[in-house]
Amino acid sequence: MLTLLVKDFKLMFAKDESAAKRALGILLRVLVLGIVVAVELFLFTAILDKIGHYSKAPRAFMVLFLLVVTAFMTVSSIFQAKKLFFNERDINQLSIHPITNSMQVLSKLVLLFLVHYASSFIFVFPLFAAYGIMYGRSMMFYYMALFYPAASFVFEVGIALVFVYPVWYILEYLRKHVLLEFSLSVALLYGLAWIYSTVLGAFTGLVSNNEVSTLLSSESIESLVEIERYTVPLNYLFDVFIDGRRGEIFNYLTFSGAIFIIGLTLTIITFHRVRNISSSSKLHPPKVKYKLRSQSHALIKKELALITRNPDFIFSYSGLLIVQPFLLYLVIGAMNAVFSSGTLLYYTSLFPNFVSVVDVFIVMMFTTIISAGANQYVSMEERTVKNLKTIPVSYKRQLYVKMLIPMALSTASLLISVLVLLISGVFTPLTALFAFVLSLTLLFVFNVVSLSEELKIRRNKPRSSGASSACAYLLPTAYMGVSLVLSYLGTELWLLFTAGIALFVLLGAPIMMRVNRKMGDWFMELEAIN
Amino acid sequence: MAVYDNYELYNPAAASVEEQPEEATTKADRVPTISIKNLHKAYGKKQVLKGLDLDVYEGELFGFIGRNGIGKSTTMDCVIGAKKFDQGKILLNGYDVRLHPIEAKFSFGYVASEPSCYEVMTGYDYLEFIASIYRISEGDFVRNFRYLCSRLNLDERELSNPASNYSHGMKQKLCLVASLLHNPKIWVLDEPTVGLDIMTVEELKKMMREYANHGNTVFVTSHNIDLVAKLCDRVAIVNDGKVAALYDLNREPNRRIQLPKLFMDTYKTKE
Repeated sequence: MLTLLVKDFKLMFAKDESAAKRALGILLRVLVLGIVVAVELFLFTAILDKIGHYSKAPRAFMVLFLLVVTAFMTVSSIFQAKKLFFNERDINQLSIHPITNSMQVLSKLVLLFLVHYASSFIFVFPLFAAYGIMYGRSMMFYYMALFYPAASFVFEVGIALVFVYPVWYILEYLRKHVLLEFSLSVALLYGLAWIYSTVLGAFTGLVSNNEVSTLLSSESIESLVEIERYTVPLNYLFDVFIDGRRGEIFNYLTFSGAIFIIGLTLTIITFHRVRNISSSSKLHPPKVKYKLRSQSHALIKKELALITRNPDFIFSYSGLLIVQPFLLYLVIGAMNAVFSSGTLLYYTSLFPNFVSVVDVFIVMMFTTIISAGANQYVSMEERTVKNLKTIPVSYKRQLYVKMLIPMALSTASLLISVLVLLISGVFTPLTALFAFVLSLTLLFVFNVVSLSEELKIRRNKPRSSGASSACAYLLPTAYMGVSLVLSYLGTELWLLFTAGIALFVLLGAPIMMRVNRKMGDWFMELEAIN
Repeated sequence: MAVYDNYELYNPAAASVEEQPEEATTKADRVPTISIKNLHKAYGKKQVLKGLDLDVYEGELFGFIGRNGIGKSTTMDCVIGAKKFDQGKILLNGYDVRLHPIEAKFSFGYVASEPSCYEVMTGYDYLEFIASIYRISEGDFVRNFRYLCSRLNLDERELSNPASNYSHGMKQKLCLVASLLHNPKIWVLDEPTVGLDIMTVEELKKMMREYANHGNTVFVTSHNIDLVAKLCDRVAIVNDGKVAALYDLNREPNRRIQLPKLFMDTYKTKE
């Protein structure tokens, strides 16, 4: 059982990375988690602070935050359960070992519980602690809160188990229908961007102190209280843990237990079914309609397939490219609104070109960060590195195609983003022009640096992405810092931007020359990554 | 050009493994299709190849064998242009792999021990990609594609699926088809039978024999000594960075039976 748990834990979390990269990844995740919890607490306490005079409001907002956590935990549990129950390689490997199906299912459930408890606790306990401190609750309140993640597991994972097979089935279907998968991913990203914009709007409103009154009106609190009535069986759970009405736990367990049992039964049935699936029976032979194309055309087609048909890249790159104009419009619009009102207006007025410099900085950051989703020119080849070396095409042509395809896609997305910002009046023509040229120059330098990092990957030496990260984050940040100082000293905006372009070109040119000179040697030393 | 010019005239009986064509033996006046001279390669301070010399001729099925970590794969990688070498010369079909790498690469088809197809592509898309890279005409593609799929019992329906869904054996079959689509003069195979079912292994053995019989060169490495002993015309055993022994199995047929012992003796004497 313990061996199975360890194996499943690795299945969920293990990545093929060096120890240093893993440690850095864990550190970053802890940092991000810390920020999320801090933002959650800040929002929660800020709201509770402002609504003390409404009698029903604190509880209503506590319920609202718990509902948000429930929604998040349910969705994440669906994907965790999918990874655990419907992993083809895991199913194949386990099928040859003398392990009963019930033991397999049990080990996966135990791991789901442990992961769910830990993550739910991180989000929920600070809420209970803040609520308890503000309203002077007894020790029993905090002690009971320790059990909230365990109790919510029954409902949240129960729902996840009901939906895990349909989700897996839909994702498998989409994997075979690339265009549909791509369209739906983009639609989903737009949806997420819309939610993000709503949250961002609320947050900036809260920060600039303008919209708190409308957000926390008695009507909106009444409707929150009203909504809780329709959240069966979660409302019983809230009664138990917020109000201490412990008898309600039986109502909660009756409803959510039934959901859990239904979910578990469905998962066990479908788990067995998936183990015996044959995918080839409904296929038809391909129509042989080959047309001789040029080598470059074939290489471009291959690179596009590597970028667009890999599900990992749809969310991290190609989908984001399409959403980039919308996201940039939202973020820059919101940031400009914050900087142009309230107390921040005073500080920003000290720097004559503050808003323009920050806007261009945001465009540069978005461009390089999104581009980082596809700068794995060699890593994405995995075992096919030897193909690159044995096909009768020069290494230069192959590597240039590899670098220029994502570069061209990112440039197109950048151009559209800047045009949207210009047409919508967020950018002046000067800011738009320099935002495009500066970001494009930075993007080129970033891609060349990424290429050199990729070409230095060896079997026992994973990619070191320090230089490209510096290019993506440090370089624009340093440029923004220096520009703000110069702006404070009265430097013209066009001069700041031109200096930025010159700086990027001066930094990029020697790197480009070195990569061009060493490319052949590095290429020949490349090894397959298994 | 199709994989076999006389495809319609193909006669399985004529291609049986037991029958060895007389002309497959080495003749001094023939030009080698693979010529390796004084090959040196080091990894840091470790010298792996120390002046390896080898000539392989057209019409020959050549076995290249050796213990693990003895320089077999390094030699193979130098031949196919996947690794740089420090000193020496390699000619493939008359082209120097350093001076004319593209022409040299057009003259061989390579199958790695681990399947190396693009898993995000369907099997068919992968074959189309390879065909365009090797500039195969439409007519040749259709003929070779159909012929090779039927020979290797590759289910064409499966080719509509992304290669990530294939079994190991299926991926290896796809790579075998891809390696022969452009009808190369030299067919290089690195442990080609790993992960293949017995029927496919038998068919592959036949194909290798036929391919050599049609005037091409087949250069194969394998740890399966029985396969090499039964199938190859000549065998080289590598040791200490050089060819330690070279046997013409057609001229000395008793060496076929003795090969496992000869292999062991090569390393015993050195130790």
